[in-house]
Amino acid sequence: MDTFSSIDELTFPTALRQEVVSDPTSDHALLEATRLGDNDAFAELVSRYRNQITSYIYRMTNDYDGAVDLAQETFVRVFRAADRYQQSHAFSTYIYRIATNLAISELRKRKRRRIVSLTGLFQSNEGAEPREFNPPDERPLQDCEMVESERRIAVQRAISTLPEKYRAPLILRDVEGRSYEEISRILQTSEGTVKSRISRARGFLREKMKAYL
Amino acid sequence: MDRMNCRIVCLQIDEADLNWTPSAGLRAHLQGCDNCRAFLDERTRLRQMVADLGYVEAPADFDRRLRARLAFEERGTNRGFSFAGLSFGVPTVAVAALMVVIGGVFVIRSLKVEPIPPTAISSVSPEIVKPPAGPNIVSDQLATTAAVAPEPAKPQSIATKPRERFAVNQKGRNAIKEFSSSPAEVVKQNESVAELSSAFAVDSSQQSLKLSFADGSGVYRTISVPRVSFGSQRSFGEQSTFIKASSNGIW
Repeated sequence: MDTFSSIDELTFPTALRQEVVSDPTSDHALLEATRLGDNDAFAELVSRYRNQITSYIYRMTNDYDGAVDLAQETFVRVFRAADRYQQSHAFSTYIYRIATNLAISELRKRKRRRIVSLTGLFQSNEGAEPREFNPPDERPLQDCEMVESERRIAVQRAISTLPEKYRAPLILRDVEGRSYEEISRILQTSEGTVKSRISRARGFLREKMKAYL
Repeated sequence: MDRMNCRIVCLQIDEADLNWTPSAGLRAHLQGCDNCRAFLDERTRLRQMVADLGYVEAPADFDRRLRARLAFEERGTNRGFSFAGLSFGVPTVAVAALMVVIGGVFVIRSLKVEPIPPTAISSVSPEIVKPPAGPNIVSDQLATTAAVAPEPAKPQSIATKPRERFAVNQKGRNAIKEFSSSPAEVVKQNESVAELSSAFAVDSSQQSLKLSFADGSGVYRTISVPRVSFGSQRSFGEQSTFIKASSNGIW
């Protein structure tokens, strides 16, 4: 891998660019109109945030269909709570907080369901240590697109193995491109805690993605 | 290279924002520190891989499904009944129905009339009736044929059980209370009314006394006479009118 010859070449990958909002109507105004019964305003809000929320929840849960359901649940809750919404924070903070809580709840439900581990299924003889179930060969294939696809799958899988408290800030920072301040408001924790968790999450990822680094 | 500087540099690299502009000191450090530069490279690649995940799009029917879900939930919360332009939710209707049921139970219970126990026609010996107070009773010592101004026929003080008396009153008519299961022996007087003697003997063992009179047209009228105690006799003087005059004359 090439190293940087000068500091001027120091760049960071562009994080996910948020949808450019051409409509000047602010999120607050749209939600206020929704509260007054304007369904078109709510439809506009949905169109602005549906991909972001769906993608965010998918990255958190690694389940697309489940993410779509939870994304819809997010908007349902926004709609139901329109009367109680306070404009003290940005609307994006508000909706991402709801989405985060739903995603974390879903992850905890999965834990409680006690998914059977495949460890030990391939134990050949008595007394031998149980072998973990190893997925098929994960080395990237030659085809570039396949390589890229395999890598993305590997990254997503690696993220899905992170503990919940590290997963959310990492996705919000490195996938969604949000600031530490906004992440701290979404997760209702301090910036220092957010930075610390992101750093640890990247350390975990680094260990799991060694083959690709 | 100073460890503290390397630690701070790595920290700054890790926390860098999107539009991060490194300071001159940091740039100088990186130029001279391979470890920090390696760390920078690794972090950059890792963040690049994560950022390349991109975002997944919501399905095309997302809006439609969301609208359907909102409409379904709204229908569910508003499910209820409407009447006279007013809408009532399910909880309101449930409470109203419960109150109607409770009220109906109370109404039914209050309308339920306690069954009147049947008239006691006892086959056992009836209660000993206390003789009514008053001069009507003629004791043995005074058993004479002397005229004793009888008291006008008072309503018989029947020493019945309160329930029986109540039953009588409830019926709204003067019912004859039988205190024996066997019909009373009818003592007939064949003499005409005018020839009735003022007194005639009656067996005191009779449980009750009924007098039956013929009014001459073949219709018998029967009256009951209060039971007398053993040994006593009821005597009627000549002046006593045994036959009660009614508005129709003799009855």
